[in-house]
Parts: sequence; C-alpha cells; structure tokens
Amino acid sequence: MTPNLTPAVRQIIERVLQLEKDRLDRKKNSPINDDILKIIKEAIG
Amino acid sequence: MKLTALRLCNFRQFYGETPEIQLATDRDRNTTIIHGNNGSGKTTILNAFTWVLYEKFTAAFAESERLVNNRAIAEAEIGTAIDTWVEVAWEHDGKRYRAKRMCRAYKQEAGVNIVNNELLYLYIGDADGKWLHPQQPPDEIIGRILPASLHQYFFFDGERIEQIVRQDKRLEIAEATKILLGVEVLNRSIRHLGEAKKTLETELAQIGDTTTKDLLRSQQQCQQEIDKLQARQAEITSEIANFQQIDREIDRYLLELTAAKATQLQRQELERAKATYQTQLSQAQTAIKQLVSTQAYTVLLADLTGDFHTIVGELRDRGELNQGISREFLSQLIHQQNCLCGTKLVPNTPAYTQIQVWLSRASIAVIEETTMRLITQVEALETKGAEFWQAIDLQQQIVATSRAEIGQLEISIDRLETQLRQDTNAEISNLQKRLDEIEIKVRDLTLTQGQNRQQIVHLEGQIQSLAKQISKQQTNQDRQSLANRRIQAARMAIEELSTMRDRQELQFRIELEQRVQRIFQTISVTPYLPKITEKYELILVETTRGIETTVAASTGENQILSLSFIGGIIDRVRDWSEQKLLAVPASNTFPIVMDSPFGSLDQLSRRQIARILPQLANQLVVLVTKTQWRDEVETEMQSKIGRQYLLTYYTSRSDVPADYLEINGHRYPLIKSSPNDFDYTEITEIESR
Repeated sequence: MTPNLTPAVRQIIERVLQLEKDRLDRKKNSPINDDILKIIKEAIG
Repeated sequence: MKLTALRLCNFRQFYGETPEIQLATDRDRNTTIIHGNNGSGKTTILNAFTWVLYEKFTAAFAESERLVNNRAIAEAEIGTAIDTWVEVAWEHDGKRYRAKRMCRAYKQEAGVNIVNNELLYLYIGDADGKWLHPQQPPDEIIGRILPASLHQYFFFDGERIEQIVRQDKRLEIAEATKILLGVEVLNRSIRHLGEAKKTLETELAQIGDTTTKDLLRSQQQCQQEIDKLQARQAEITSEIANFQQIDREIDRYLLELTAAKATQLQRQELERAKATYQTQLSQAQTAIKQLVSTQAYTVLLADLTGDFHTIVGELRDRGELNQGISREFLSQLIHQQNCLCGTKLVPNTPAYTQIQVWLSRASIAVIEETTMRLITQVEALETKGAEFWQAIDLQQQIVATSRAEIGQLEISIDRLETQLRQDTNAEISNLQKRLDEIEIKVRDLTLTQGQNRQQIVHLEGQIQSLAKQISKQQTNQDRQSLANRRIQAARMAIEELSTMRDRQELQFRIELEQRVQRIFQTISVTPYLPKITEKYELILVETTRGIETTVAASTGENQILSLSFIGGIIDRVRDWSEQKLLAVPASNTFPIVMDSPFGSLDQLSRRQIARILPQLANQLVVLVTKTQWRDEVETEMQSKIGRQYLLTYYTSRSDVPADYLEINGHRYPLIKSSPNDFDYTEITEIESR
C-alpha cells in the first residue's frame, strides 16, 4: 500500500478486503452496503 | 489447503468402509499415486472429493441414484437404511478439518429411496486437540478455503482437462482468473465502497447548509442596532434633562418679569398642587394593587365558609358537638363509678345508662377543640372580607378625588398659560410660546424613548433566537464535518484500491502469463504461445511474420495449455501470497487431484508434465491406469512419491483376465475374482521399500 495513507483509511481498506474475501463464494449475499458503511463509520467517527 | 485423508463407505464401487486413505503431505514427497484399471473407481475417488466439499460431480460421473453400493443395497433388508458417506480430512492455516457428507437410502420393495442427501458435517480441530462444530455453514467455510467456482481447476478429470480452455468456457476462466489474482475482490471492494460513498453523500446533503456565518452576522447587526438605540436613549435622556433645565430657567425668568410675576406665581402654585395630587393618585393606585394581591382572597371564601357552617351545623344537630362534655370526661366518671353529683354509677342502673347515652353522643375532645378554633378563625376571615372591601373603597375614593382635582387644576393652569401666551408684552408671550414648544418636545422625546425601549427588547429577543439557531448550526456543522471526513476516507480508500487493482491486474496478469508461457514451452514443442488477454481469456497464439493469430489447438495442445495454466496459477498465487501482495482467499497452497491425466499426450509431453506438476503443486494426487503410468511418467514422478495405493477390482465374471502392476519388483493384482455375485473395489496401500 502507498505509505502516506492514514491509519483510518488503511483500516477501511483491510476490513473491506477481508469482507469481500469472505463473501467471495457465497451464493446468497446479504446487502453489503450496510456492512461497508459500518466499516467506514467505525474507522472515522 | 493440504488434503490429509479420505475414507469412503458404500460409495459406488466401494463396499462397506474403506481403510483410511492417507495422502502424502510432505514438502518433498508430496505426491500420492492411486493405481487402478478403468472402471475400478479412479473417477469415483475424484468425485468423492468434490462430492464432500462441493456436492458436485465431474461430467463423466453417473447420476447420484447410483451412488450407493449395489452389494450394500442387495444385502440390506427391506425397510432398513443404508448409509453412504465420504469423509475428507485436510489442513489449512494451522487448523485441521474433517468433513463428512452422508446420504441415507432406504430399501423398498420397488427399489431404493434416497433420503437425506444434504447432510454435511464439518469439524475443525485446533492445535489443542479439540474438535469443534463451527458456527458458520460448512459450505461457507469450505468456500473461503477454496471457492466452489474454482474447484474444477484443482480437482479435474485429466481426460477432459482441455475443456477448461474451450472457446465457450473462456468467460469462466476469466472469472476464475480474476478471483485467483485477487482482482475480483478488489473490483467488488471498489464498487461497493463507491456505493457506500454515495450513501454518505446523500446523508450529507440532508444535513443542510452551513449558514453560521450569516447567522453570526445577523446577530452582530442586531447587537449594533441595540447599541445605537441605547446610545440614543442616553442622548434623549440628557436632551429631556436639558429641556427641563431650560423650562425651569424660563419659569424663573418669567417670575422676574414684574408684569408676569403674579400670573407666574399663580401658575407655579397650581403646578405644585397638581404634582401633589399626582403623587396621591399614584400612591392610591399602588395601594389598591397591594390590597388586591394580599387580601383579595378573603372575598372569595364565601362558598367555603358557607360549607363550613353547614358542616358545623350538622355536627351540632347530631349532638356531636356538646360543648363542655367530652368523652374522656364521661369515661372518667364511669371509671370512678361516681357521678359528679355523688350518685353511684353501677352498671344497668338508670344513672349508669344515662351516662352511657351521653357517652355515645359526646364528642371527642380533640375534635371539639379544633372545631371551636376553626369557628373563631372563620369568623375572623369573614370580618376580613368586609374590611377588604372597605379599604378598597377608600383608596378608590382617593383615586377618583385626585383625578378630579388634577383635571380642574389642569384647566386653570391652561387658562393662565393662555394669558401669558396672549400677553401684549412680546417678551412674555414669546417665553410662554417657548415653554409650549418645550412641553411638546419633551413629550415627543418621552414617547420616542418608550418606542426605543420596545425595539431594544425585540432585538434582544432576536439575538436570543439567533443564538439558538447558531448552536443548532454548530451541531449540524459537526455532523457535516464528520460526514465529509468519512466521504474523504472512502474516496481515498477507493483510490488506493484502484491503484492496487490496476497494479495487480497489470503485474499479476503479465506475471501469470509469463509463467504459463514458460511452463507451456517446457512441455510443448510447438511454437505456440499462451496468452492471457486483458479480459482474462486464456488463448493460444502463434506469431507468423509479426502478426499474432489465435491457434485452433489440438486436444493434446489444449491439455497442455490447461495444465500449464493450472500450474502457473498455483505457482504464482503461492509466490504472491508469500510476498503478501495478494487479496485472495487465504489459501496460498492448492492441492491438485487429477484423474487419468496423461491419456492423449505424446511421450515427450507426458514426461514434461510428470516432471513439472509435482514441482508446481504443493500437493499432488494422481489417479492412473497402468497405461498412463508408463516409464517416463513413473521415472519423472518417482522421487516425489509419498504414498501409493492400489485399487483392486473384484469382478463377478467367470473369466477373469490376469492383470498386474509391478512396483519395486513386486506384483500387485489389478483384477481379482469376486467371491460373490457382486462387483466391487478394494483399496490397499502399496508399501514402500
């Protein structure tokens, strides 16, 4: 990753990637928007 | 993912429970060979894996009705259940896994009924030795280790491997490649973050405008207005004072003017009287206000006192207010057994009975006392009411008198002023006119003061409400600032992920392409070159005179291409995850389980593949026939073999052809005669020397 990212942005990136990895193979997926919003709001707020 | 063991029970050709097939997991000796003739169960074993993990079968495998072993069905009694299952054990990321899929069949008259085909049990064991049933669905856990959409690249039928690279399957491969390169994860992350960012932006728009600056300015303006007004008030006060000063001076001057002296003196006296009455008037009005606020209540008590008198009257009528004779007194008499007059009080005598009657009527001392006191107080209140009215009447009288007097005095004063105004002496009349002017001016100024006062109150109210709005704005501003920071963070995350994705796409695709090319060219003698297009399609090209054209490859060439692709993927994914560059499912090692892989290939290709695959794969399980296990393949793979197994087919045919496998000087039978009417397969381990 680019070195000049804030820790919050890093956290968002890592958690979103992990979330997507875990969901990769699921047939039925719950709406992801809420999960992503949660990740962002937890990182900054 | 490293497969460790496999066991079958009543699965197709395998009757009863097989022994546990241990797979080679050593880093150097990572290959397991399972020998068997056609029909002995090699494809079955491949499908055993895919059935447990993904409930999927390869194309060559028959329908699931024939999953259950025939002999088990035949031997079962009608109405009983036959259990068919397969158990797979593997290791991944430091944990051990055991999955078992079970299928239960019931034997009926007409045939066999399959029920409960869905049962999949998964247990995860940690280093501490405990086996736990996981919370999440097993297929999700498995999907995270090796996604179902990718499984056919790692568990495949060697005779049909070229299907992977068929024209109509290119999209599938493209999708799979994107997943394996981590590009898919990045694409989805970018897309979903973008959607989330839009949501945040919508939320931001709903918070509202930042108008704090405007509000503050309005506040300032109000304050400035107030300051101006207050300054003006002060000015007015001093102006009035000035005018009053002039007024007094003129008055004095008029006095000195002998012609006006008498009139002036008179006027001054009248003014003084008027002032006195005005004071009287205002005092009386204050007194009225005072009386009303402190004593007016007394005239409102009429109803209450009326009720009180009624109650007291009722008490008296019932005889419960006998003054003077209390219960306590009578009780004492009875206790003494003597009346005051000396009569003995003996029960059942007339005197005693009389006392008792009085007792029943006598009041309790406390009630009587309280009632007496209340009566006194109520009477006092009633008097107060009358007194109140009297006082009010008096004050109102004063008010009326004062007003009348003031009225009269004003008429007289006015008459005198007119006199002075119309005096033939110009000086006098001018002075009086001047006084008139001053009076008007002072009156106007006083009115203006009143207006200003009202205006100031109004402005102060506005400042208050603006202050409330500002603090509300502050909250909004904070929320806006937070929303903005979040949107900013989302944007930066999207940017970074896009950079990662572009880099990964370019770099990984190229690296993968190069690896596949190198593998392909090691195996194949053709001048063709594998390519992975920007759309992630896997194609074979040849360059003739500088122009690239897609090759219509043969089955063999496609087989090599497929195997090169798989090998390339495994190799690169392992490398990238070691460098922590990858956003993929965490599996950085994939096993390869292949069934009959060398069929259509020529000797050279077979040799090359046999040499490369064990190097590329972390773990290899190969199911081969004797023909496929020819010299060159055996030679190349020999050093990597960790375990070997033999599938012996028991045939019910009477004429049993002899067929042996020779390994390390020993002969192993591939076919044997069945002791009963059934065909089945047994699996045994071939011991290494």
